[in-house]
Amino acid sequence: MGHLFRAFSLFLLLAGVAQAHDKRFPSMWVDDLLIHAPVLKATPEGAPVAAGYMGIENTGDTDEVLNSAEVEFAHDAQLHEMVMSGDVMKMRQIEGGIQIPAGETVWLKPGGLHLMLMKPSVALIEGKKQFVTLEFENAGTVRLPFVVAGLDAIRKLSDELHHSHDN
Amino acid sequence: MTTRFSKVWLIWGGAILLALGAGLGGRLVWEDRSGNGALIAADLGGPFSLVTHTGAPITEADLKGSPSALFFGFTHCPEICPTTIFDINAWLEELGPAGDDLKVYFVTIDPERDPPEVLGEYVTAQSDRVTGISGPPDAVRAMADVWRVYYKAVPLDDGDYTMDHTSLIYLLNDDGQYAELIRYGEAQDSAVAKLRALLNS
Repeated sequence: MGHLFRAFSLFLLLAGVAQAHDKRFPSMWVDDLLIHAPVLKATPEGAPVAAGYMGIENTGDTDEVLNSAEVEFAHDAQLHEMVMSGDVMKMRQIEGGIQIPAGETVWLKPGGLHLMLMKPSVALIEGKKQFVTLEFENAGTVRLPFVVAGLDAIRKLSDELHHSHDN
Repeated sequence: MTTRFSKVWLIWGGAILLALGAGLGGRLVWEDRSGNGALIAADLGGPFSLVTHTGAPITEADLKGSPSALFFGFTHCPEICPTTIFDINAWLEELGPAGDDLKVYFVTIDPERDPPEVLGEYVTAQSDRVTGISGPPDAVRAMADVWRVYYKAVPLDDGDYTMDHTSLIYLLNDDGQYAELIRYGEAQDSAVAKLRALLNS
């Protein structure tokens, strides 16, 4: 019964997400986590930094932590948060990973949490894919394809997905 | 004795005036952050002597003759600086030919890592309308200071650092005087209306 109920809620959840979904940015499962629209921002060659975004939905009943990220196409990948303090933009490295409580969705999106990629060695070209390795506390280590997208597409995407989840 | 007395007075009087001035300036900026007051043109800006991303000299005199948008950032900035340039591009596109007179300046607050060539590569990859401004670190910081821009280096794990900084875009009239500001994340309609007003003034 429990399983059936869970499968049914997952069906509803996926049906909801599917409505807002842009086929170019597929969601994917990692254990109990549903990773929504993992994207990298299109970045010209030689740019000192690049950024990555995604939604991490924890459908399980155990709290999860995204400990770290790793990429081959940049010198380093860090978890960062941008916060506005009045009109001052402040950037912080996240200590202790990004917490994803059971049943909740955490969004890495422009203007907030994000993957910060230091000294990318290649241009990130719109429409191409790059792999990012994510290390979760419980779900373990997984290598996922991230699609490169322009800022306008990323903004639209995170708005749509965000809203479909607030409902 | 009298001379010495008046000298002392001059120094102290000057110091008190300066302190009052600084306090007043701070209050005005604070008021603006709280969303009530407005910045006063006389409080912002001042002489500077720096270089553009092509290496050409630029001073406050070059801000006269056409209206301009001035903002501060750095190239190791994944979020707010590319977003600001992206937004400005969109505003200029909406303005069309009406926006042709607007000059756009991006001043680095991370001059050590942003010499003119690096800054030039960064801005030209994102826009053909933005002029980068760099120069010797002390001179660049002096410019940020006269525009009351906050900046602070924050260390990262890998020994590198990132910068906290003010995200405002200042709009300057064709006398090079502060006229208006656009905040980070401001709606396109509002930003474009402010630019139109500036260009028509």
